[in-house]
Amino acid sequence: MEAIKKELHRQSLHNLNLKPISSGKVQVWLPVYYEDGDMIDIYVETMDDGHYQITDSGMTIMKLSYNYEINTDNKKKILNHIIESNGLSLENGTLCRDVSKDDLYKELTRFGNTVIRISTMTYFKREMIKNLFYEMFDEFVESQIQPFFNVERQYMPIAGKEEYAVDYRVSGKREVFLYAVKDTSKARLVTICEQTFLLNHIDTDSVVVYDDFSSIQSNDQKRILNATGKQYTSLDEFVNLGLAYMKKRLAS
Amino acid sequence: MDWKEKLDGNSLTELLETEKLIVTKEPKSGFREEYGHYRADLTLESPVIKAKYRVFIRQNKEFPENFSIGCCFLGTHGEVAVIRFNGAHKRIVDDIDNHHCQAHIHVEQGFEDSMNSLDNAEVTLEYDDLCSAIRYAMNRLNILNYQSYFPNVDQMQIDLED
Repeated sequence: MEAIKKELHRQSLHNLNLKPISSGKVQVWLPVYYEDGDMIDIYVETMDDGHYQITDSGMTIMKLSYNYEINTDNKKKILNHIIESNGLSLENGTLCRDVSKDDLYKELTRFGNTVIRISTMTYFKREMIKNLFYEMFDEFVESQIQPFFNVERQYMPIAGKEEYAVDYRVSGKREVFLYAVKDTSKARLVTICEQTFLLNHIDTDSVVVYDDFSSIQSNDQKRILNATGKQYTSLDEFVNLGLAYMKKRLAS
Repeated sequence: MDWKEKLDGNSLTELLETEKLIVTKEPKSGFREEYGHYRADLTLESPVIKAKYRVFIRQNKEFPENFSIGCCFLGTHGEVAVIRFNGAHKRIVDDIDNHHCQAHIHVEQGFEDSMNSLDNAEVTLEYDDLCSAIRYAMNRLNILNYQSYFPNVDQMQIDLED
């Protein structure tokens, strides 16, 4: 215990560096890093009333802007929520936190953590979220559909033809084939499957949920609409309305 | 997915070295001030390999040596960061990451699992401020028409407040 404590004390001194920037303002280096490996930027300024002000000189949002834009009300709201819930403020793009002398070290750590939280807003990018569509859909099926109905994943209605599969066979008194469609290639696959089922005299109703219907190519939109049944143009639509529809459709 | 597929069949060297043209610049003239930094964003196209890119230019208002010029390839499988030119944004030499104390360039090496991390960094004497960095970056990226968008950069002048 003592040896660990001693080692941590030694290392913490070794990993803390200061550089004067101007009278009363220093840059502080802590071993806290952005995801690209750069150390985070922290400055401490002595204020007239003896308090300290911790800032980032605007580097956090500047670095965020390499890959992510704060360009909608919703994004601004999320950014402000992260900043305010961690006790910081945003002044002309600079993150600020006024602290008492006694709290300086603790607040530097908290400040660093907040910078990292803001930096990870890049994971909100549409292409990142989009990759989660199937996981989010599956979570919804598991938590909201499965408690009420039998759900069979990757159901194969035609024996010996494993290439024609249904994402989810949902059954109660009746049954429906449920598909999640993120992109044009999946839309084509669903169209082919449903047309094959029809040729094999399987006429189970189908429900298709898109990540974003408008992202499907125009001709493929027409084909899948002709080949399938109920449509939800986004996961949000299905989350809001899907369960009620399934209850009505499968109970009757 | 391997690197060749991620880069739509191109190599990193091809993507870096192929001739490019600036197609758009935002703002059209100079730089825009936002959240305590100056910024400009470009889109590029390569007429040779039909590749598209985006370039971001940022400079911190309080600390001008904190600047960054990054180029990302816009492939069909998503965006891939190819290269980033940075100023000397670290002010103290210690045991860690001292390349940040000088102007440096992060280049994608194409190692497995390295996509968009740009871990590798080379110290450079090719530029020492944003203006010379823009000039160097435009030449290293082989952008043929950069003078039309940064008319005074060859005379080492840029107008951030424009």
